[in-house]
Amino acid sequence: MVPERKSPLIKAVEIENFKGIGRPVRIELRPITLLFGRNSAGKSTVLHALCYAHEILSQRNVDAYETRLGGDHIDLGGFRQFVHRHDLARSVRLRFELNLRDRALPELAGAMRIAPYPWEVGLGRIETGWVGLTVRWSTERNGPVLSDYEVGVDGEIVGHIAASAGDDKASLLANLSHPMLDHVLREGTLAALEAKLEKLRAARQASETAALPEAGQVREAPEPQSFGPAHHRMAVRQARSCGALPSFGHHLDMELEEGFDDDYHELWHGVSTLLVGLGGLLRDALAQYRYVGPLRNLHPAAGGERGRSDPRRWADGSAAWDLLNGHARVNVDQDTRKLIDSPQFDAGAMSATVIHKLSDWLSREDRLDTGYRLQVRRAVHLPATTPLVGILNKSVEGEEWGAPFLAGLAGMSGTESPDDIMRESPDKVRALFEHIAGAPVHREIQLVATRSDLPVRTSDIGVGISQLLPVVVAALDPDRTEITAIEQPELHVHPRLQVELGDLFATGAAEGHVFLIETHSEHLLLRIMRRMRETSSGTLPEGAPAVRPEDVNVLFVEPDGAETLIREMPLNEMGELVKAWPGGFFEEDLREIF
Amino acid sequence: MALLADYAITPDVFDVTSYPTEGECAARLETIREAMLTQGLVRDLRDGAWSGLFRGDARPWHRRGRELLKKMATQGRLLPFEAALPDRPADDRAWCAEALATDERRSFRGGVIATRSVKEAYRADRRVAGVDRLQSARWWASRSSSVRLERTLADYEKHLDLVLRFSNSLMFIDPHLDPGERRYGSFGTLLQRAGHRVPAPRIEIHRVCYKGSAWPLTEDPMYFRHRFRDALARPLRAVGLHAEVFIWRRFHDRYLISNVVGVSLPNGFDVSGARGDFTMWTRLGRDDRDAIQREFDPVVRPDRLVERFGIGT
Repeated sequence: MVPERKSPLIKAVEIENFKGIGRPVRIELRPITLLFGRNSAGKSTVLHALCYAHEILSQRNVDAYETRLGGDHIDLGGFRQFVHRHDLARSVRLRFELNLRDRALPELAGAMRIAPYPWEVGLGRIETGWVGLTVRWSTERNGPVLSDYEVGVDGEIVGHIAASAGDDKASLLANLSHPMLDHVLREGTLAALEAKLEKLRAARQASETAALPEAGQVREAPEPQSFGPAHHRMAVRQARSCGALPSFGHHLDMELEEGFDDDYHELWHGVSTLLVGLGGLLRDALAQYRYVGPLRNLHPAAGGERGRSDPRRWADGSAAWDLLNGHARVNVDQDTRKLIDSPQFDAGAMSATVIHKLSDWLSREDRLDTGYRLQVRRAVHLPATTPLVGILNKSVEGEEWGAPFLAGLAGMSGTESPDDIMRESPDKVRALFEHIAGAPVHREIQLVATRSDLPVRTSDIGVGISQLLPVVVAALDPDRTEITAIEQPELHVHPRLQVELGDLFATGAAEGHVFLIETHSEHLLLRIMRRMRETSSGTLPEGAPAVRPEDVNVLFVEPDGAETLIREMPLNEMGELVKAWPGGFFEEDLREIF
Repeated sequence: MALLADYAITPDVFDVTSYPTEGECAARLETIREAMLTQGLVRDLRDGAWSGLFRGDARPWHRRGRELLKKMATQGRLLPFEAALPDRPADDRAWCAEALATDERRSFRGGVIATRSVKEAYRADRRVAGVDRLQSARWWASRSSSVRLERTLADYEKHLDLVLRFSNSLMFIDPHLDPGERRYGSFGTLLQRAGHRVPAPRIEIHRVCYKGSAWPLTEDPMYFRHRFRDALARPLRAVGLHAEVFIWRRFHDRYLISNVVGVSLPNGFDVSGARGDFTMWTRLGRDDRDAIQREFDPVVRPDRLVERFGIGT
């Protein structure tokens, strides 16, 4: 039932000069990445950096305050605030390493295609790539600008776009000798490519002044040593507000020179496809970044439809309720199994499975055992204008409402007493019932206390459960996201449940989720370590999720002067810490009792 | 005497009812805490059946004891040890017998810590000490934070035996470590002591980028790759090990940092051909060990790291 999904696009992220992080810090994202460290060490910075990258790529917002994904929980405060040490001379850099193995680059508008690109027809298979974004302060604009956009494929740089504030042109430095571009030329040989490049260089020298804007207008891309011998510059027209960021979905608007054959154009459009395509993939992946903030809403208000909820509602957990209610609306209960042959069945059955699975996780003794289960509540909502509702509302104003209700019914049907209603006004009564019967049945999710088997309102449940439920839903949602980031999943949760969170995330990871979790919970980690030990020794209990060292990345975040350091604390296949945990592994309790 | 020692502890030591008062139980556990968390390993007898005793609430284990065991487990200080006697011990005396039987297979660097009553049953056996009179045991009283040893491979192996065999990580830090040089010629043999186990330990070798005192850098960046690969690749592969070599701009001190102990070795890992050439090794406090481990983490001072490469499997 779960749709097949490609492996996550983002393999790692490198962050520089963002909030507490000064020097570049690389974080490899594994199915479960855990960030530990004391308060204010900088754990959240990693999660916030991903929200910022989403702002840049999807909203073209480099001076971010509140973010689309972070809701009210993340206020970056603008570039002046989040650049490291508030030093406007520094540049914020984000670099994403991508897994492109089973990804197709998006089709771009704006150029005539002569032949398929090599990576589309198997001449070159793209395995990995990276996208680099640099935001720096512009004194001309008195604000930040995305000054540099860089893309590489399979270990070699493809191109670098550099721009300064306010210009409508940027400078593209392309690595035309990139192996992936080698096949673009129809001659298909490196020698032919080199000959072509010589021609291009000569042409460039002749027309450089015309091709590029006047000196000082365009900030040229630096010439990194990583560029091959066949690098070449090209002016690119950009929207003024975008800096170096290309317009995703469209080819770069390059100032191609006249007098060259189709190969020349194909070559540059090949560059454009890679440059824009990888950024587009990253943008789409980050749009699938789900951020669950550290304080979940105790009494969430109703939100959007299933999967259509405002993404920022995940920040306070409200979207979990939206998602559950969405599933409840397409739920198929036992009475409507006749729909089994209908087209709606799959969706309904899947939603029923989702609700059942989540309910299981919440209620079963060998799972979270929270004391609550989920139930779909069916109700008919009658508008206040319905005559029956009017009578009911009026009747319940008094202490005893049965007699006034029947009297009201009799009045409505024009009879003397309630006993005469059916005999004297059957049509009116039928019409009334038909009106009610025609009202749609609404389905919504409801928590039921397992001990009493009584439904409870969200205001009746413990704070811990209200904090936990969004975490459970996010972790097991079959509509998997690129990354699910959760701050403090253990908030207000008993240690026994914190242990089970380890299994929850391991189960979600086995189903394809990628978790980035900021936590203080040793219990959560201990369960993951145990599952690793059991996986390795072949003693994994039935139904328990297998966990291997490559599934888990434990990171220790600590301040180092004004810097934030992130150190890896590897686990071996027995789930043991390979290196000594700084200060001892959660030894605060030991110090308290000895 | 030993920088790292291994012990066995009979279960009753953690049982409140083994003592006249709960307070005495707490005090005895306090006595062994520091040694267990910084200098000791404990044999988890009968393949973990010993630690399994403490999982349930069947007996009134002292809270301090439980917490201590938990921390030892997460620090990698419990060593699973296969059963040495045919029958599973039924009482504390039998557990003591089991512990002593393991000594026949591999000698303790420490000894067996038992309750007073069990010690009385083993009065003549010096390997057993009562938790109330640990100082009377030579192997406990002679614990020291330093050891004087000859600069020979045999002495290095002897004093690092437990560290090499049971650590999950080993960081060999010596600015001049060059396995291609004669004085470091036995380093590969020392490394092999850590091999032949699953999971294999993580091995890191840290040295500086210049030879002798010849600052600045050795010009050829491949120089050390060749030196280390030529000398260590084969011995490491032979025992299923992989090592990561880090070449740093500059440092001076010599250490061995593992997840269970940190040792300062002023003369490093080279051996001396001269008879009677002694050196002094000192166990680091835990904070210092953490600080050194941190200092040589490549993400902490990336500007000082010249290069890194792997050798072995």
